Amino acid sequence: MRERRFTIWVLLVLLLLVLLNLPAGRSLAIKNAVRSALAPLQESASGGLARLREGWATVRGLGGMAVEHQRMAVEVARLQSEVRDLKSLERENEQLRAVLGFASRAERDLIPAEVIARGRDGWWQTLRINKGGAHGVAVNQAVISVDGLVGKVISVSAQTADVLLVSDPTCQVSAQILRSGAFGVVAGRGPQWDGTVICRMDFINKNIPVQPGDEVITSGLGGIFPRGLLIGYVDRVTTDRSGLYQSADVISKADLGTLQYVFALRTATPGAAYTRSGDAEALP
Amino acid sequence: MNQLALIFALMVGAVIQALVPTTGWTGWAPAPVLGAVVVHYALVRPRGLVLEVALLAGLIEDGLSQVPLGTSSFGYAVAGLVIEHFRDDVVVRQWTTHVVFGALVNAAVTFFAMLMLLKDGLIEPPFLHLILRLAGALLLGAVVTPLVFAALEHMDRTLGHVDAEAGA
Repeated sequence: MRERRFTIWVLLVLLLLVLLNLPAGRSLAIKNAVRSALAPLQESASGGLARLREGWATVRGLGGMAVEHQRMAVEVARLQSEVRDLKSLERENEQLRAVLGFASRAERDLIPAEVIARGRDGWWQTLRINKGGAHGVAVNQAVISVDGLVGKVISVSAQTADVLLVSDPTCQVSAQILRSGAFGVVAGRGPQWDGTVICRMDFINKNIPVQPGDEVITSGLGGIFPRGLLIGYVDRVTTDRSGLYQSADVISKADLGTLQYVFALRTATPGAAYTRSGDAEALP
Repeated sequence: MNQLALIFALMVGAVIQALVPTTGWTGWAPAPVLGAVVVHYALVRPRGLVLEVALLAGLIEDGLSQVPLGTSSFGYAVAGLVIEHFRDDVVVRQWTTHVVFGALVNAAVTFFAMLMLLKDGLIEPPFLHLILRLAGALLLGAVVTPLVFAALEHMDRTLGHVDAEAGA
């Protein structure tokens, strides 16, 4: 009896040691199996919760629907006029690009996905989407919402993918201030007490003026995020302790806490929105 | 039937744990539903089943997060065996027992995971975050465990497990 118990203990310790020291590939395979097994349950639970929330919001908003309808009609008219203006600008842009010999904008394939879970481990800021390798999602693809950049894919199973949010300190994005063209690196500052999402843009040239309200976009450098994705707006500008650079607090445009639908971005040429036709020809 | 109930409890627990929102005041610690399931099994079930549930709960918890596989399994297995060792010295079906064990187990497993992650350089949170996280784990363990225990007791009674064990 005593020997049997000892054997069980040894086996248990060995099992735990093996589990803790599994090679990355096997460990990922087990994690993916767990994620895939629980994905349908998570999807239906989060879907049910979202429907409940929507139902409650509908009930609460019944009184203000007429006012909301009026506001939306005005908004639609404004957007239609904006689209007309943009179409003429796009035509003009295409003509100028043709004259300059630039290739047209790289194809961006959007893979729509639904958020089925949020990382609740509290160490990293992640969310899980209901599209995975089987749908064309791959590690290091940028993820966006209708408002702007959300983050990047960090792990993929057949049916799901985990996204590291731009608000996580380990998610670093090469960025640019749209107005002045100043470059910098945006990284998350982790969760804030009040739930707001704040990122920090570091290494901004101290001689380039940066103002609160400036739009911050991805620069396309670094190879993961294509150029031109809106990250957010500058909230506060400070000078680096060394005095060599400026830093800016950036408020994310996408509301990362309430996201329900996102898009994984599959680009033909990640990291570069435009390519010179001459350079493209020089490639093997 | 035991195995089915165990898997059902773990799967539902994992989904609930992933759905319950976290707050900054508890260091963003998650509601420890899976940890509470382990406490329940450690208090009322045989050792073999305790180890099984500890390993599976840890696998699911780590599988659904970015934490290296095996970290939570190790923590839950040790915690489960410690509780199982001392369960004859406590009143098993009293809520204060669940509060104390829930709080201690969750804080201990969180502390172990924290050490492992810090050791591997996977996290670099401010010191205040670590302290809040431990306090939050203690608090959430104390709150969630009695609720999960009651739910699992109800499920056991429905399935006829408690009566069978009490009669044995």
